[in-house]
Amino acid sequence: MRPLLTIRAGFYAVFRTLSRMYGPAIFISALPPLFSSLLALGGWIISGRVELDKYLYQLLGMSLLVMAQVALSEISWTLKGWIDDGLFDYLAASPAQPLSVFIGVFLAEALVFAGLSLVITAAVVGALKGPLFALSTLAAYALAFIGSLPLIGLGMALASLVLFTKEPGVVAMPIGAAMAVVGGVLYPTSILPPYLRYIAEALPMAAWADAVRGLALGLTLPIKELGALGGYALYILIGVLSFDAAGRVARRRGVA
Amino acid sequence: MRPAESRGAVGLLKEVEREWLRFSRASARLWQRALSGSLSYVLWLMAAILAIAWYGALREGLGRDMFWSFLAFVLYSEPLWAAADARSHLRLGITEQILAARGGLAPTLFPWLFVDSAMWSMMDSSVLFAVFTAIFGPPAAAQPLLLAAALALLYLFSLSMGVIGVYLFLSLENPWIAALLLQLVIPLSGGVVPPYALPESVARFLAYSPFQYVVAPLIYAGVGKWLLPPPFELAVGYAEAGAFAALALLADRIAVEKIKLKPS
Repeated sequence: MRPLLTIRAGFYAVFRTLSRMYGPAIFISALPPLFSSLLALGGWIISGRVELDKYLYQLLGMSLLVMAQVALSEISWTLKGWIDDGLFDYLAASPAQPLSVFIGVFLAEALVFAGLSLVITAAVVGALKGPLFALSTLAAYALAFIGSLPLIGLGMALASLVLFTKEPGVVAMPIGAAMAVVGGVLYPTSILPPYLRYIAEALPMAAWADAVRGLALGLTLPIKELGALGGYALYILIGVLSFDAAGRVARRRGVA
Repeated sequence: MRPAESRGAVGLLKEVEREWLRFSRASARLWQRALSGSLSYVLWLMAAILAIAWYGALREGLGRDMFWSFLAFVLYSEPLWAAADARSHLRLGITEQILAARGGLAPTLFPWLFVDSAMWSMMDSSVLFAVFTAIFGPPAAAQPLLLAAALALLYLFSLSMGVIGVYLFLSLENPWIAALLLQLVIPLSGGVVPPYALPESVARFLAYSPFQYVVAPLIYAGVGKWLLPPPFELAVGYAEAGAFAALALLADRIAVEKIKLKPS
């Protein structure tokens, strides 16, 4: 089955339900500007200074964090919904590659839940730094969608646990929160203690955020970070293999 | 004689024991969710604290002190979350049964919120301690005796706020916005960001906040810096917490009369 067709099918399966969730989508889209403003306010209270560069760093980081949460946990929640509704059997029996299906799921979820916040962020960046930066931010988000494949792989690895635990949140929630701590989206990983920096380097999030930020706020094509992201493509393989193995065990046991 | 009055302190302990049994019989799946939620909560808090600290607090060596701020926040907020949770149960129709069995809601609600929030707080603060230790080193209390007094004070205030919160949430269709406001406004005006970490112009206003006397002493005792002399702060704080406990009982009386007139 052609991957693009499968991506489209996964996208459509989720998008037709999500596109009606205007309330939650607007609420989630408002979170990055709201929380980055609160952090800047907290920073002002503590330091007595308003630092625009740090505010933009965190604004951009927050919207990337929403995308990362979608990749890491929404795949699990969607899978749980499919299992509950008895639809997983169709996915298991179809010739479609799960990776393509989940890329479609991610695109739909990210578009609905992060789309508006990406536009708001680009508008704020444009207002504060100039229209060229608004355009570079939009271009950087296009890069973010492509560069999120390792995160989708990680999300698939977590989703494979759902076939056994039936509890998507138990693993996905702490991992998603840990990404906020070591993901380099709210502050540079250089302020972390060394052993947390090692964890940050082992995960794809910080390199992904660096690449997007470099293009959006620095107008530089981040070749080095893109190269690093290539290395993190290993997570795609881990995701595919673990989901495949879990799917086979689940089918044998009759769990799914 | 009303049943609640006949039991006294022993009766209250039995209520706590009964609530503990209800809580401890929760399924393994619920415990998994609780642990995962607790870990996530603390990690999000850590991300927020590091994000704010990036603006300069780390340079001033405030990192480790911030443990006490977060501990105060956790201890204050858990009874309110437990109240929001209890509200869901009460709205399902058990209010009248509790009233018929106990004659009032407060004798049940205090132990209920105490057990639920104590367990969640213990889990949250353990993970908080572990995470802070990993990043900043172990936080040691500067004044342990005062800390114990401040801990009991904050908990009495938080429980009373929890009971008041239950009645407030019961009267609202969607309690989450009210819960979020209570979660933010009282700790922020109560010195959860302590005055010595604030610019002088902002810190001046904190001295006039009544919540400063109940929320902030835990932080002051942990760090060893007080805004006013500790005996004065604690005395005012305990008087205030007592007033809030009385307000909780009054809210209970009013709510019970309302429910008797118009059952849910």
